[in-house]
Amino acid sequence: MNTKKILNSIYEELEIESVKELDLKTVYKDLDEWDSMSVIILIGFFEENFSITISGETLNELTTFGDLFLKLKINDK
Amino acid sequence: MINCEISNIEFVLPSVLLDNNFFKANHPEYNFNKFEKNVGIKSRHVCADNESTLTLAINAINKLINKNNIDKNNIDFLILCTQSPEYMLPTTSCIIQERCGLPNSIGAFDINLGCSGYTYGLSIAKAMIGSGQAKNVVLVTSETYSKYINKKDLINSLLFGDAATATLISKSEYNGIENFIFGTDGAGYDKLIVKNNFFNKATTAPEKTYSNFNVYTDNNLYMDGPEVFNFTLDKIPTLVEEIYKKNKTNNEAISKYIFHQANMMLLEFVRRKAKIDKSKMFYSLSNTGNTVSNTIPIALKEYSKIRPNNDEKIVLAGFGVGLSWCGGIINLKNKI
Repeated sequence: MNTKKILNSIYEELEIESVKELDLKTVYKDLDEWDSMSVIILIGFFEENFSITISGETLNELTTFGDLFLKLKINDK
Repeated sequence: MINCEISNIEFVLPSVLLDNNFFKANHPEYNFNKFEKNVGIKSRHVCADNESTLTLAINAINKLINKNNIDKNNIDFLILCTQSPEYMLPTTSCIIQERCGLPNSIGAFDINLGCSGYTYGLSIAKAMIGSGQAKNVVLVTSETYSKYINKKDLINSLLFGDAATATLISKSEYNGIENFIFGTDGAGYDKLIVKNNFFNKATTAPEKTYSNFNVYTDNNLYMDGPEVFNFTLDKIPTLVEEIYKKNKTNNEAISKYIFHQANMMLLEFVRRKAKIDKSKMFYSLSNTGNTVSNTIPIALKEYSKIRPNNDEKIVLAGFGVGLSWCGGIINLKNKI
């Protein structure tokens, strides 16, 4: 799955309506829909699809999806 | 080994019913539809000022005894699972013995466990009956977390409810309770915690916030949701595999999975990771919320109302505060 597809899946999982699409520069914490439930949904998404465990603390420390993918070593290569 | 089975379960809910609309007025910015859809909780019951762990527990036992025509004199052991005891001391189960008119000859003690408490309690009851020390054990769960939750803490107020249950476990020819697996990880003790206790309860503990809607002081319940979620996803699918192995069975022989009803989203992630068919998973939290050690017996009772009248093998799993987990297999042949 490339980063674009991952972002599209996250868009659907988080039921985003406040922006048209997500990109690597999107600051997830600034999204209107971002709340404690979104944290859980995102953690579950990465665990289920990539067997990657992210802590709530990590999500708190990072800001953009680009930062997050870099940390999780997810890229288009 | 002497066998035992679950004979009856009853539960009671406290008098104050709070649906999600109750919270909307103070939090118009919160997406309650998303909460209901993902978490699966529409309402919960919480205690009025005159209700407590003790009163709920007494009501649950009286309901168990009266509805099922149980002779109190045949009860020889009482186990209460609670993390919201009536007093620091004495043990709440001792007060229950007197208030419910149970014989002086019974043994009674409390266990301080949360969401893993019911499965722990079943295993203890099995051990007491199996070793010939008791014939009829009443296992009570009674929890009033609402008294710990800060009134400004929207998320935990939405998640948790109060309740009590009473289960009669009796000596039997039928092997109704099979083997259980236990687990503990105290490194996560602070992920779900009420920090201050009877000795150091501060009257002016400073307010803290986390996420947009959680407010608490050290006198209140604090839950690190993401870490509890990660713990559950890490441990419970493995626990299910261990339960199969310990009981020499597999998922095809299991007719239902009844897990601690923490929230729908978490249960769905666990179900998928543990490769459990959706039709075999039982959910029962819409109108009660997360009632801690009560969720499994409440779900069992609700399932019993609709289940087919044949022998069934059911996997139970409790997990949460501690961090602690415990699961095993029960067999049902009758309504409980």
